[in-house]
Amino acid sequence: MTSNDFLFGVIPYAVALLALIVTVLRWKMHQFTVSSLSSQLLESRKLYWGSVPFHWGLSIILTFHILALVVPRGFEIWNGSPLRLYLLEITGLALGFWALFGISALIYRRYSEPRIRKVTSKMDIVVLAVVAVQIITGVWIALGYRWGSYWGTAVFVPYMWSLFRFQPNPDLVEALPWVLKTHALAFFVFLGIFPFTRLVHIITLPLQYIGRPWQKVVANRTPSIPDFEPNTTGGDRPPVVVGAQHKSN
Amino acid sequence: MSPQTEPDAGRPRPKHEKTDRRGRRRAVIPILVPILLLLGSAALSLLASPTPVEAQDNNAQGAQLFNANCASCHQAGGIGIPGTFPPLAGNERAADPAYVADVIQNGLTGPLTVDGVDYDSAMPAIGALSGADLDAVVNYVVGIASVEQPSAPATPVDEPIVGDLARGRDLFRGSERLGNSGPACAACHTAGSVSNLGGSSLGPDLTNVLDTLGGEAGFIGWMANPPSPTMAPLFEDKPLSDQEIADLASYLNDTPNQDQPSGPDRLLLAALGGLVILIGGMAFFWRGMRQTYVELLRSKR
Repeated sequence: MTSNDFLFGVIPYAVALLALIVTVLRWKMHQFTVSSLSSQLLESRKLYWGSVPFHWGLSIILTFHILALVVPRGFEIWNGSPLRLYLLEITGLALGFWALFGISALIYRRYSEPRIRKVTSKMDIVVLAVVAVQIITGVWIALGYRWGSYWGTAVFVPYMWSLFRFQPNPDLVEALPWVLKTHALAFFVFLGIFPFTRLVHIITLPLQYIGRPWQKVVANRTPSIPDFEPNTTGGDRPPVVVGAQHKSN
Repeated sequence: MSPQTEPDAGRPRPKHEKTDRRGRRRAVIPILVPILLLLGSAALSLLASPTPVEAQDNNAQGAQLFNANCASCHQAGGIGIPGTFPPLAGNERAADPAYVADVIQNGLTGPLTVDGVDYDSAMPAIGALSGADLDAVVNYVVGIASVEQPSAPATPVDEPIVGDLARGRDLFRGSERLGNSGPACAACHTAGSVSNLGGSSLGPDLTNVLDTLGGEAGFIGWMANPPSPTMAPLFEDKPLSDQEIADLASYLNDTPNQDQPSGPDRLLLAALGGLVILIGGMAFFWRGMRQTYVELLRSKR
């Protein structure tokens, strides 16, 4: 067995199994820890410039990676017209740069803010490093090995499907440039560390919020903030409403 | 297991990060063991599985591998195409096993003369052949090279298929799909002015590929059964039709005269423009997310 067979034929199954079993166990045994433990209350300004580009950039790009696995034919037809191909690739690369900007801001925030440093675990650093490798190699591929959305459907999707069919064919990726292999391997590492890190918060997407009746959060006492002046105009004081539409009388 | 880490019985206790982490570590160790075992057994099973091609009849296997990897250019029986691909049958040079193995493994580029006919093209290294497969092919080639060939009459040429340049360009781009649903050339290659930002840069630039492969005839032979390790599996089940190959050859014949687009620079500029729009847009949206809790309360009074 060559190293290529091991990395692209055995590792994917090992990490997928690890991710599945440990995530289920963590959910069953330590459900409270299935979270990313927000640090927004400790620092919110840098978080905004890091978290928003990072999460939106990555989510959209990840969605299109998955779409390419599901409907590769659709991508080939779309990319048949150069104009459509360029639209897709330029948008993807811009989102990649946006995510790169975001993760840079998040790394800077983690090191420059003493409060955030205090709550940073070793695994948080591992997560940032692995995802940074993913984003950097992704942008590198988009620039250096152009039109990944086009060749990906021909060269990489068949390999991924060979994994899903439990007939792994690592030979399909053997001749590819090392940057592409690193990008794929970093994903396997991502999957392997998934259940041991804050990454588990991905499975906690609060979909029930969509159908849930809305709630109005009302503070029932005046917050003790130094220059907070109570309503002195008489009449009923309007409730302090946080995070919801506030209609002043 | 110290009593401090155990939650007090009967009293509800808020889950604390520290005790939880220890608990998690305890839970994970027994899981790792079966996973490592599984990993080991998977590795062993892969090691133990027999090689796919069992060497039964070396000569038959050699012929089969020759037809799959070499015959697209050197033709069945190794008779070659005069002026484009040198013959192997009756070729003294190909009677030396070390020379044949070296050419298969490292490729061969440059002028050479066989039977008084000059050749000047390039053969890529055939990475798919190694080990027992390589030995079988070398044996086969040495076999046909050692037999004195009656001067083979030039194979009667069928009606030549005329390629259509415009259709070749469409097939290259992928705006017209290949009949057997193979991937379009531009998915991995660029050539000439295929489009404004150029084709893909994963595979080699094909602008001057006809020079390298010895003209349209060479290209047609190559495409009939591509020997490169990346292309072979892609087109194994989805071969191109003769007409499609002729159309592509016609397009690639024209590419050296075309202007080369400056793809990478414009791609980078356009994407950086997109980045500026995205970051600029952030200044106007989600204003609430940038405020601290205190600022939020102040703004709501």
